[in-house]
Amino acid sequence: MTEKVLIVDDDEAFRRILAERMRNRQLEVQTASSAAEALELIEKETFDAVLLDLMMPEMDGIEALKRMLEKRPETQVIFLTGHPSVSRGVEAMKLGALDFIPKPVDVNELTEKIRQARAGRLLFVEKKNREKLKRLLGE
Amino acid sequence: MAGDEGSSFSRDSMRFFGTVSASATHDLKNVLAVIQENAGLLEDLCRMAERGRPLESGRLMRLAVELQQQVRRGDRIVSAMNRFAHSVDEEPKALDAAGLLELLAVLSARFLAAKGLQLQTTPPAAPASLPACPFLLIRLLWSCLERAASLGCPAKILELAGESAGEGLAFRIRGFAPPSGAAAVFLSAAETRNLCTALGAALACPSGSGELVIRLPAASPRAITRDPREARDRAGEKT
Repeated sequence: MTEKVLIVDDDEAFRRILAERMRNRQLEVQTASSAAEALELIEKETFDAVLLDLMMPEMDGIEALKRMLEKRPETQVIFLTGHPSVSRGVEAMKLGALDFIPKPVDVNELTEKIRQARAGRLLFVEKKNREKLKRLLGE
Repeated sequence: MAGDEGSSFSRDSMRFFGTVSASATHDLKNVLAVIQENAGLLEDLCRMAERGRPLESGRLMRLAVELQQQVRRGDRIVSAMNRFAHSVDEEPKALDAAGLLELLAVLSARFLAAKGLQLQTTPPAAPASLPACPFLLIRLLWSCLERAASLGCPAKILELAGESAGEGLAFRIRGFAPPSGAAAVFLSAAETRNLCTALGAALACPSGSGELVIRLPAASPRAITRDPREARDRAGEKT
């Protein structure tokens, strides 16, 4: 099954070309130019990974991550940033990001991360389903 | 100027230099990231061609155009950063208003975009210049833009226009929602007050105009110094 990815970045050129490279690797890709647009998309659809820019207009990546996890706790977020700082990276990971990758990115490495993200998401969903089943069975 | 005020002014200057430099280098990282992805896409296309998928010349041409655009974008940022860096180490000189507006547009683009805003600049109808310290003038205009942005911009566009004003220069900021007593709001920041003193500038918000006017008089001893202490000394003021 194909991994499904959402690329969230306010830089149109970066978004478009990264999407094309991901599609060349047989991934299903959607893009969003802002955190608000991304939040709307993840409410409607399930993504294996969200590639999220850290610094965006109106709502930054950290705030977007918090809201995404509120809406869908299984969301696997990989931060892509041109502004890597250890403190922001630690903050992102503590909040539940899967990884924090500085730009420019290595697409093959990123594709591998997305495959890991899919595995992580499926594991999370399975665990939640098992917990739900246990509750239903009164265990 | 008291010692504390002077050192605070120096700290503010350093902080401003850091803010602008960090913003410009962040923008450059984004440019490099796009160039890297373009190069990577070219590599992908070559590998696919090796496996039998034909290379489309139109696609390659679009990639070449994209690369050239990104190089131009990067060049604009580096050139602006270079001019900004020299605004600190060069002696004050006649400043061209149009060039200054162009520089501010590039330097402040990311900062304003982070607030969901765009800056539109309008140069003077005829060439206009004024001897002044470029670093202080950039700081003053930036601080006014920053404050204007914080007051709310209904159309999400801030306008900055330059014009000749007698023998001096005037800059107008429009597009924000001016509160009553707007000039005082802008001058409530000590940094802005100090910069106005250093440059001999006056701020005004004519009622009903919806704009901030920053007037710089014809060359005065104040306008060409980097340090407000020196400005006051030259003007013969007691601190």
